Amino acid sequence: MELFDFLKNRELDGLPLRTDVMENRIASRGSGGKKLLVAAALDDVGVILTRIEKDGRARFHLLGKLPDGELSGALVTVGTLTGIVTGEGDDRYIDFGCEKVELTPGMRGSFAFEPRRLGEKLLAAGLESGVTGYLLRELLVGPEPKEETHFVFGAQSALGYRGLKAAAGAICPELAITLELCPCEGVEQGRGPVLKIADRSLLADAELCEMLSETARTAEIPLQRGVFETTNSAGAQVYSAGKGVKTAALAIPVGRYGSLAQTVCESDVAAALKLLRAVVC
Amino acid sequence: MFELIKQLSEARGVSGDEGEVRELIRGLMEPRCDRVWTDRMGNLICYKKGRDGSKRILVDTHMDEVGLIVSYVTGDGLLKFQTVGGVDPRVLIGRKVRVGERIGVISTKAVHLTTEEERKTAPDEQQLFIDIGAQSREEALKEISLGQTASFFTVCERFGEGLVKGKALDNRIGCAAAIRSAEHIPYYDTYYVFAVQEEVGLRGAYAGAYGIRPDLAVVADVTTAADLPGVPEHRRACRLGEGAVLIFMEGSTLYPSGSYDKLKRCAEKNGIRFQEKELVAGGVDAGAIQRQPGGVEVLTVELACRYLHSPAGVASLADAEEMEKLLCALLADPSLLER
Repeated sequence: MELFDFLKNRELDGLPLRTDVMENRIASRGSGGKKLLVAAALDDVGVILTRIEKDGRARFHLLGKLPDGELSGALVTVGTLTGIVTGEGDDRYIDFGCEKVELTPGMRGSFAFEPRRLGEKLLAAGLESGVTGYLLRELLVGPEPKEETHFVFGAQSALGYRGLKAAAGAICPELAITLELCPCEGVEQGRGPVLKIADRSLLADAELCEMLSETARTAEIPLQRGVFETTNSAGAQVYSAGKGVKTAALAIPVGRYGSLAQTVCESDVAAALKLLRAVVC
Repeated sequence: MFELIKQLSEARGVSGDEGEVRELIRGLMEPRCDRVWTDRMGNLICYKKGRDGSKRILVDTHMDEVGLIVSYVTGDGLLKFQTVGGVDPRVLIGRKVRVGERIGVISTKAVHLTTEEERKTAPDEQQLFIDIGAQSREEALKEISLGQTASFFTVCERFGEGLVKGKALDNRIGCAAAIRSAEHIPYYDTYYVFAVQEEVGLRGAYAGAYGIRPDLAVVADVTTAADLPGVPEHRRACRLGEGAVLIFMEGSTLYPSGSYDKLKRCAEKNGIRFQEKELVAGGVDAGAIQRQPGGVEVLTVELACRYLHSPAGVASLADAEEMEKLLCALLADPSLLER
């Protein structure tokens, strides 16, 4: 499957996934060796409805973070309805254009934004779950892993990768690679994926980083190294599970990081997939 | 219900110093349960055998309260402090507190010494101190010590039409509902965890749940209500007098829709008055319990309370009874663990 197609349909049906209590989707393949966990985000920034006014307008809470200026005018889909975010500050709501809406508090919605090509890049909303989900999906359906490997599409990723903490606690891997996005701070798009050495929440395991670097060198896969001051890693939810997990974060550099719609280079994603297959399979 | 709430509200139990309220609850739970013990974190755990021992339910309700901790004693015998938990700093001046066996008053610069600018904003804790009537540091240190907690000193009383005011209604009302629910035999084996240190980051709950490994948890807590004139409807969160508060999301927990529907169905089936919380605000122990290894399904029932985290919160006794009824209904329901 191509990345662009996955960004359009996010199809995980047909994969041998089980769902845990926190709604993580998990698959396991391979046996023996060191237990490895590879994680992606299952969800992305969205909304949850908190109150439906008598005139059909819906109050909401943002699931995740977005710059304030990007909300007004954004299109949101909840169930079969699409509405537009209107208002400002505390008086913000979604206008679905009708009074009678089959909506209830607690329903969740996503931002409606069709992926598109922007020159040599792809532009899409929900890129964290889109790109990392694509990578994990392709890894899962690819060749058999050489060792016991657990593939976790982590729930509540937009809320701080909460599902991943529970999944890692149950699986107790020895090694983990978390798939993430990163800003172009000291790294560039089009020059390969990024090994996140450190950020606010994680100091990646030096040995695992060296293994990934060596694998990239041997297979002639471009790999950048990054130290970030402003990001938090999914890996931070994994490394302290059980007796501790040697954890590294493999990130794809994106443009407009943290915005509703971000850009990505397909070549960076392809290189990341090649590296993951070289490590896992 | 009121007498129990009053007893619990007036007991001391600032986060990290829950001894007094823990012993009170222990005395109330021992006749109602099969086994009661304290874990390493200080959580009080009470086991009650159910009709069916194949599953475990955990009922979590935190017993700690927000308060103050003495950080320094000045040469004049005044106590400098830091807040413990999210204390509303606007409501501290002039409040009566208990520090050990001493009564004190929270004070600041006399009003005639303040500038016009200073009078426009509430002073922060750096500008406040507790006056226990000591004349010197030596005199003060004879009766209190650094690190000692100070709790608000508020008489819990009924007032208005069915309302109650008191300190620490968050979460002594949750504790009261849990204690009363323990008068009935639950369907499944049930562990009540009266958790510590919720107000400083859900700390006790994680350890409590980790030791029990429940199949499902029910959290009972109290939440903010801003149902006052001038507050837009959509910012009120919930309202006094409209029953138990059901939560689909708060600051620490997003509840899967299947779990929320289960909670709602139980309330509807048992004719319990309830409302849905209309604002994502606050955080409860569910956040620490849900993220246990493998995840734990959690349902949360709350109670509306005005002036949360202040020396005198206000809640409805009728709402407290609905909260208790819902807790009892959940614990009696064998379908609770169907997925």
